[in-house]
Amino acid sequence: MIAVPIKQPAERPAKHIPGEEGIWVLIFGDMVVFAIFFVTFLVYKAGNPAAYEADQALLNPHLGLLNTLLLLTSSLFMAQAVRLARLGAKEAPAMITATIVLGLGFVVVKAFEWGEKIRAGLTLTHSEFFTYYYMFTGIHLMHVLIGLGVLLWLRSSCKPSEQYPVATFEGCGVFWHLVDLLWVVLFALLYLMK
Amino acid sequence: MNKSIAASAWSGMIAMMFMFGAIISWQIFPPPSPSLPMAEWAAHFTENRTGVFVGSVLMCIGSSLFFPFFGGFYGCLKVAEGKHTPLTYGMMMIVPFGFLPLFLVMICFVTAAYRPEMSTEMTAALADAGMFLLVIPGFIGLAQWVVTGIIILRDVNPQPIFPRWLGYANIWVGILAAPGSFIPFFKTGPFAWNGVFAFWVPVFTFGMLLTAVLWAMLRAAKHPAMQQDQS
Repeated sequence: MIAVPIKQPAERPAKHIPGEEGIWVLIFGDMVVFAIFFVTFLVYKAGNPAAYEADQALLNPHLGLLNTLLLLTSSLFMAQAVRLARLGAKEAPAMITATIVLGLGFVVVKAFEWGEKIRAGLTLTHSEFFTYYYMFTGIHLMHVLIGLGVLLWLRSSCKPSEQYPVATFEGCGVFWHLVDLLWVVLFALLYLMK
Repeated sequence: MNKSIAASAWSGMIAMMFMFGAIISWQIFPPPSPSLPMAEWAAHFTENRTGVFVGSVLMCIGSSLFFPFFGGFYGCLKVAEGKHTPLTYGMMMIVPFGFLPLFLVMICFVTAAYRPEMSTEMTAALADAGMFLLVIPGFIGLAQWVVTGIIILRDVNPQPIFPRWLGYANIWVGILAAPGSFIPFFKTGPFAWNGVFAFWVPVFTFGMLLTAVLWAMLRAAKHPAMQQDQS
């Protein structure tokens, strides 16, 4: 007979909300509204799938993918920044800098992509698809810019030798991950979904 | 309790009721489609002249009552921001800039309905201008609510004047107000002046936020830091 070791119930860790409770009003509120964006897009697309797919083919999926990689990598650096801040490691601010640089890269690629489309005559009023493309990516870009502003403020307000404001790091991280999550869904919806 | 702050908060609630009454009286809730034929759009005003005029009186009262409300709100924000209050001063300038269009909406609608013998084109153009003035100030709303959110989040008091979630809610509503500025590009769809993102989402979230601010002001009226000038 094999003796089965009885597992002692582990002590449950105290509940921890990343950042602070208030920021989740913004996070969940934004997620609800973006969910309405996405459903609206799908409903309109279902009304005229051929036109939407023809316009979708005019997008450059390589630039979309590049931006996805930039944001995913930036999120990785952000997560590292939070982890290092919790440990009190001196590299935490450098991770924020890396996140900012990658976020700026996203903005540059987006500006280039919009410029390319506008020069080709594919503007906001070209078609329903392009209305959604510019409005959704524009509202998302506004989130990126707000996120970058917050990260710049965080970067300028912490020195490597200090005790880090961990909750602030977490709050900024939560918002930056939201920016990333919304882009991943937008990328799939606008560039990939047939 | 600081009775001035409490009275200001209630003036905001009354203002909201008058303004909602105006929108109902103008029959623009829900807003008619911008793709209506011009004659039909003009008839909306010439056939509802009494409603348009009554709505303008209601809007005149409602928009005026918003200023005591914002006066009380500034009072709270000033205490939250501390000794130097550049952001509160900024907010004090943005709000009149955002509310002035409401007065002009009223003038446009009244002028559109005033002379029924006026040409259809002229009536429709004035009515269009009224709708643009009502919905286009989206980015002004963005500036107003984001600045307010930052003041609330940077509160210097050991016990904050407003709950921090209200600061985040302000930023959220500010971001959602922005699509209103894009309505001239569209006559149909969710970004047109009757669309879900240009009208319904901003109106719904703005209404929720004002109600939350009103509640928070009544709460702030009892805050120790708001009692210092009370005799």
